[in-house]
Amino acid sequence: MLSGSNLNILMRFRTSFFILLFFVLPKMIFGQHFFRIQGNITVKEKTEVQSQLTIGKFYYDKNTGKIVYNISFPEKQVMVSKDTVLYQFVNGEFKSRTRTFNMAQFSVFNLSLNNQLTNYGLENSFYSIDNVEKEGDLVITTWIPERSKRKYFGKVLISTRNKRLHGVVFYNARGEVAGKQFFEDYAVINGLYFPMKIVRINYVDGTETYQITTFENIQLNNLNETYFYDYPLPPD
Amino acid sequence: MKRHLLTFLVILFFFSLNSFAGNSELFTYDREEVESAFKELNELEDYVKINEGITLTDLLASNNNLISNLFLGDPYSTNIFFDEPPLGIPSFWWGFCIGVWGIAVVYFVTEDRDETKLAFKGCVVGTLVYVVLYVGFYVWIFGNAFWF
Repeated sequence: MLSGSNLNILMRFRTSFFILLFFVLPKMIFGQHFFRIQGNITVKEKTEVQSQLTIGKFYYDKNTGKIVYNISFPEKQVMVSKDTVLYQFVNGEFKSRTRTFNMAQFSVFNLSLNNQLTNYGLENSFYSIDNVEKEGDLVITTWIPERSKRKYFGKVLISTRNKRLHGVVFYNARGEVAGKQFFEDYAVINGLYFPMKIVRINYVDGTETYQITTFENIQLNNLNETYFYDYPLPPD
Repeated sequence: MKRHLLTFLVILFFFSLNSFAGNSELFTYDREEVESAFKELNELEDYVKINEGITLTDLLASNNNLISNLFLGDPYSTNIFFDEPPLGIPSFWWGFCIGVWGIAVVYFVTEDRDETKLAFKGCVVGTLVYVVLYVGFYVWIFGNAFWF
């Protein structure tokens, strides 16, 4: 016969056991916590008037929230995106600070580390699912912005193939295709799927511009290059 | 009657096929066209990767043929990694030119407080400029009226 206090302890133990069983254990077994990603990056851009080639290394740590590009070509420099500020360093010296937009949240690095790449991170935005259809081997999901924002934003179509993000089609508020992105050549790094090639096509005033981003030597949770992962920034 | 119905059904069938193919067609692009567009940049990329540490300044100094046909942009440009403000127009000018609507555009597109503040400042400055011009115009009109 159990006394009241023993029964209480048993109940607490049982509650803890169920929490462990249903919430903590599956995460430990099935989900590995990735917080850092780095690799080589090459970005090629082609417009009607200009070409651009950028080669370097990238570092992203979701705890610091900094995307760091250590660029070797066209000129040696470091660019750091943190919150809404872009910092530029040349020869290790701070050169400029530009106000930009928080790119980390929807970057392929952050989305991949958080396992949100499949829906392009739209699940946690002001977009909601309007339609899902299967066409061949593609599953196409139509996302629409909330009513108050439809004046400025168009729908977004996301296609997945084998449960991995294949393409994103962006519409403007007038219903015209504004751009497309294709995520290709997936590699599996420590169990994480990462697209080694991203093709971006933008449609501006009837012309197309292309951008191809390729990655190499992707590493996860590297603890050795902390200097770049937490690149020192000048005070505000 | 049957013939009309059959024709209608055939048209409906092809129309539905067309609409069915629509969305998956969106997720394609002309790979050959893209590859050919990047032919010269690919050659440059290969060269730069082989000659590790080489910069655009080095290539320009040596009159390298690989860049002779390429109009390469500002080597310190940040646009290649980071998107621009809405339509590339600074937030201040959104507010300055189209007032409250400009603030709304910046607010919804960027969801950034600092950018929205810039648009607000633009809106205030734009309104002040408008008021000054408006008052100045009437002062000028009435000023000239006294001449007659």
